[in-house]
Amino acid sequence: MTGAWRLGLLLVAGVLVLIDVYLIFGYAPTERSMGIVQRLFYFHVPVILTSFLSFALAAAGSVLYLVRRDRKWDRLAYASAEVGVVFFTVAIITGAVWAKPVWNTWWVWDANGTLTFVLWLIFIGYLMVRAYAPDAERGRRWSAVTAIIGAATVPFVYMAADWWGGLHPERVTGPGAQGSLESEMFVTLMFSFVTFILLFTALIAERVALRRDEDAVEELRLAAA
Amino acid sequence: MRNRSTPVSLSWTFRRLTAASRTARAFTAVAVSLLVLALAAPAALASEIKIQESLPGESNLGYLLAGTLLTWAGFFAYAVYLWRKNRDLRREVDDLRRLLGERE
Repeated sequence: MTGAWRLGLLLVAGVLVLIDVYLIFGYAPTERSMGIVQRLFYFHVPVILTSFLSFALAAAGSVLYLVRRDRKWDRLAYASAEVGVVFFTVAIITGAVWAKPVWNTWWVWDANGTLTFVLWLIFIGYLMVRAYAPDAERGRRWSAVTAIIGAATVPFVYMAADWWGGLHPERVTGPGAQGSLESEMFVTLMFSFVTFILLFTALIAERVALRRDEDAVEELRLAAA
Repeated sequence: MRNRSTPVSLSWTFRRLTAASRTARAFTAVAVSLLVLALAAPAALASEIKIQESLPGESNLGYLLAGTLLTWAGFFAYAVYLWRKNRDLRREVDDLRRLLGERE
């Protein structure tokens, strides 16, 4: 993807961000039991689902890299893992800020909270393996395995509240969801999904391009040594 | 895609990075502007927020604004991180150019 396309993608994502902010604060109705803080739902849910998508992409890129040994798949995996960590961290923070007024605590170590923390640690581990592996090739292979293990954890995080209970509420959208939403809430949520997925795509495209340049400089550094 | 056996050319990398740095600067500028706007929007729309008197949690506005702020601050920090990466990479290529230039 060329620079112009990446920039265009970001611009479109930016316009959607502004519309999304309007929908969240000016269009969606206030939820009855939680009040206005429930609007964090429109950030928390799309961001965490986008991070799951990102981790799945990291695992897919890792599998393809391990099979084909083509660096482009490793670049995709790395970019997805890094952007995924950003999204997942934002989702954890918004979840904690939402939990405090509703549950009267920032964090609960139930199945959902614990597995969320484990998944976050796995992908932090992915980035650490890349940074501290004894050589680049081993770093790529070890981190690929880490990404696959991390992605395998995602379904457990997604289903944790259903399977093991806890304070986390039932899901109101997505596969296996039991709750339901008012139409204005649903429209806002779907718009948020599209917005964050587009923002995610713009960031991934930019990170892949930067990673390609990092690889090129690394080759030059080796040539100069 | 370049063949892996093809040696990387310094001038090719430098041209690519120069173009990439222009894009990255523009990307960061756009990202920062959008994030600032997205942060300002909730404040501008505060009067539009449909708060009903009888609803609980009205005093939770601070949590809502904090969550919104932290969301955009996270993406803003990442855009700045990408920009800094690109800048460091350009500096490194400059150093390599000087080093290889001195060898020639």
